[in-house]
Amino acid sequence: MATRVALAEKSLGTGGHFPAKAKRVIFLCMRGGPSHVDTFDYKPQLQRADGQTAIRPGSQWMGSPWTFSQHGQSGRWVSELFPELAKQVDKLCLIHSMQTDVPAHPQAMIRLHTGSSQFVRPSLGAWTLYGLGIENENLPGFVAISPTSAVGGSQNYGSAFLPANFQGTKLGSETSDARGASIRNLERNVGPRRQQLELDFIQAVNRDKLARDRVNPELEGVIKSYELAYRMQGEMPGVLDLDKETKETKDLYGLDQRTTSSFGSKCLMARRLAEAGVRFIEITHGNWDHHFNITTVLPAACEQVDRGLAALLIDLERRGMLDETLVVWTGEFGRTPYGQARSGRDHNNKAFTLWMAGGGVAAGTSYGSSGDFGYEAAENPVPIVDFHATLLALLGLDHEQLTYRYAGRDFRLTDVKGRVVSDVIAG
Amino acid sequence: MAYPYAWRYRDYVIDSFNRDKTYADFLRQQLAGDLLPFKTPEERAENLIATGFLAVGSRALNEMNPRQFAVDQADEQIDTVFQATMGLTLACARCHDHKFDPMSQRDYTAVAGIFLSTKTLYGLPGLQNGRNASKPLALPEEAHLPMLAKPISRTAFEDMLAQYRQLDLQLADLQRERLRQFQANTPMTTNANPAREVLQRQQLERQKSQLEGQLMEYDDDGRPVALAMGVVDKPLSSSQSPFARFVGRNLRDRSAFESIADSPFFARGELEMAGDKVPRGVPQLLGNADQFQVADDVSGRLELAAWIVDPGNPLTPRVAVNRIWTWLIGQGLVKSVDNFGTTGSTPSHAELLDYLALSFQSHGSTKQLVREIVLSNSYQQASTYDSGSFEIDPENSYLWRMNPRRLEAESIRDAVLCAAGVLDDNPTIGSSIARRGLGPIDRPPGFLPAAFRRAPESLDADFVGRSIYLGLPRDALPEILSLFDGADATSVQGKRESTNVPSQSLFMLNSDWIAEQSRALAKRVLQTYPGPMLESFEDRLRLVYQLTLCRSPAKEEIAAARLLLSQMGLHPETGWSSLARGLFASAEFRYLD
Repeated sequence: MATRVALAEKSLGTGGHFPAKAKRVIFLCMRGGPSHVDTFDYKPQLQRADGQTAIRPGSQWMGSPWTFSQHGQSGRWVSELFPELAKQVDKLCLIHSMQTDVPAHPQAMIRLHTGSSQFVRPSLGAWTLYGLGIENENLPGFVAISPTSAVGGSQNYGSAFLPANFQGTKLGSETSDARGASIRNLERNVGPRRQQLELDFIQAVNRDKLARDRVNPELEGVIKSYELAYRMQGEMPGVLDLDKETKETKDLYGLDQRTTSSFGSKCLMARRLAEAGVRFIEITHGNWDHHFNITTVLPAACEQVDRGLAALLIDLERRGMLDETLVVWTGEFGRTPYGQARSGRDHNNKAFTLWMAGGGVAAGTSYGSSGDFGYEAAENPVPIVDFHATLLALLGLDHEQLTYRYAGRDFRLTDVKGRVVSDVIAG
Repeated sequence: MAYPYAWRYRDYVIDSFNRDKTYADFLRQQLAGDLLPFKTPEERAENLIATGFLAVGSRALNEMNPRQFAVDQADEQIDTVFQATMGLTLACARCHDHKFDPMSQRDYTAVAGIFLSTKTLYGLPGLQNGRNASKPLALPEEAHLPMLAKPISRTAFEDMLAQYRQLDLQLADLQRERLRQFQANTPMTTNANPAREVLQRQQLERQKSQLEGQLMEYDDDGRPVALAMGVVDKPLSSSQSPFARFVGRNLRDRSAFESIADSPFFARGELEMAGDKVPRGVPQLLGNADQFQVADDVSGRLELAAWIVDPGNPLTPRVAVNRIWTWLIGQGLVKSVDNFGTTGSTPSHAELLDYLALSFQSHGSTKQLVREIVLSNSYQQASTYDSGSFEIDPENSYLWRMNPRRLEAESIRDAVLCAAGVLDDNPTIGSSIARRGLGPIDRPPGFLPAAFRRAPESLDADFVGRSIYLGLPRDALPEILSLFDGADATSVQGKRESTNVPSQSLFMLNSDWIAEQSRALAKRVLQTYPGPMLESFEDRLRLVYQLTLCRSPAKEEIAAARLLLSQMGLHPETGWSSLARGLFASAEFRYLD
């Protein structure tokens, strides 16, 4: 039993299997599936074929209504929908040949987060904590900012069979504004003096019991968990308090604008959590499921996030944190290059774009291609499982060695597959 | 989605233990109740409800390929049945021979045929996307089962039916219109607002599916019908049309396993790589698989159940007594309770396990087994620490003391409510999920855009019944269950984690729920001893200690409590609430020792 309790509180804890590039992850999940051919995957041939019969019977290619241009020293193409982020393109590594197996939101979302859509499995963040341990014991190691309760809900940040303290701590919900969002039960129910007296009483009762039992590791664990809870209650509100930032920083993240302030404050919160030692931070932003009226809804979604994304990269860099913080931006899949009622685009699991920045990725590069039209990964396809292997590698973890024994066998995030895409890792 | 009819199976399990049904009967009913003979409608209903065991598992309702859905569902059933009853991870042999245990992929396929010949009725009639819908199992009316729904008037029923038909017509019109546009090759651009059309259709479909579910709950006279989750055998292949038989003979079988049949051998577990059919059967590992016979016209579940409970099966009783031992003693004779394979742990007391298994097999009485264990010296030991013994056996494998252990989440909740004096310990009819009815639980009934959907924090926030009657929606588990290592209801979990994490402490210190129960306990104590503060202090303190820790306070604890109360000011309820919270939050409250 002693080993089990120890395991529940600690991870492998010995650092990674090989030198880590990144120490932590900020995972930006664009729920719904952003259109890659309107944002980061420039397809001149698709533009030219606009209105012509497309690959799917009865459908027509739909060129992007937006203009693309080259940016930065790397000369990567970005559409006009991301004017701010385009200026940071030299920090990005764009993978244009991402693939997932099912073009349905719940399966694809859960697959992206846990590697399996059929079974309940630990999430990326839980595996990361299991592999690397919790950095700041006064804070949760994995925070899910504004997660969605749909498409798998808490499964996407859960720990499944891994110990419970590796599960993501939920901060706010998708439908609420991030400012003022808090973690459950973090706020005192009674005044500070009364709580102090209560805590003194609880710990006195616990210590009396420990004195009687002499040796009782579980009881010591409870005593420690009250100390931690008290420190977390003290430290967390400060970490989440965006008013501690300068006006310049707040403006950088777009907190001064109505459209950008919600996502911007989530990004700023993510940076503050990263700085305070939170290992894995996920921000969910929805909804990118643009079947219809794409000319209105996609620009709106892009405008909400563009400034926050750019600010996050700028801010992490100027604080010297970008090198050790892996930033990932992706949806659960992409969208079809042919139109849906010429109004929007349908789900596309055969090709989509994911980008990474910081944390040892090859900045200013791109990898793979989605062919002439952006319909299907044509060169160097990267299935989700390879992305997972690569993400772990950037954290210094060997996806084949990161195993957890449960129900009679060893489990891996990548199950029996996975290949590290070494081309996207800086040499 | 949550299962609104799962509660009947829950009640069946509770009732079975209360009546001390023999373990063999208990398993036989759950695996093949629909195929068992019966004398009365009550017995028939019980047998049918028992098969809910095979239907309550998790399933990927969004799966688009019905064949894939069928094999995944069968796989979940195989995994659960074999881990639960025999501690075997047979499901590991789905795509290849088992890596560690003597079970081949052929063994898996033989068993898979049994479950692929079984129709699972999980009672989610009209899912919004129309895929993988399933009716519930109707129970005999003469069994007079408890009912959640109240009778409705005949006119009300007919109104509902008319509304349903109306929706059906509206949807058909929409469909026809779409077809007409398609055939006329009218570009879809002419449609002013395709988004509105899709939303309208979705809304109608959801209304229709809700009505469909509601209609199913009544007979034509508006009287409620008892429904459950469960399984039945699929029809025989001979009932297929000649065409289907022709297709079945001449082409690769592409059907979604519509009838009783053996399963093809799927190379690497891939549906696309279906090979020869493997006769339905049981794994070879007990050496008696050759005697296993299944007639062509039955699934084979009854035969499988007989094989699992056969006195010649050494695993079934050992796995069962080991589970009961684990719940009582805190650690198993075999620590890996769900895995008796080669990667599981070896028994610490093999002969004891043999003895208990053999006697349990002969009497089949769970109560007798529990009595035998709790009357043993091992169970009645103190949990006192002893450094000499600890040095020899730090894991306490040889049981030199009782294991101190933390209460499970449900027990913590029940104990808090019980101490606070608010626990309703009557059985609950139905559940919060059943009362909510059909439809996704993450949004209120009716139509709302996605942005407004959210999981309810907990359906049972104000529920004061015992925890076994809580609803368990996957994404909105009652908070105390998710914090204190409640079981993951989607997989087999015979042994839970027991963690100590700060979020548990924050719950005890700051949650509204604990605050509410602390106030209730304070009131209870003050009302029991209404006298003046100073005179009644010790009586009150003794009572609050008895209610929370089942003992009287020690001398130094009386001093600590006096100190707390004196600093807490004049209002007695405030002070006693703080004291109550402190005791709920103490380690002793949640540990058994």
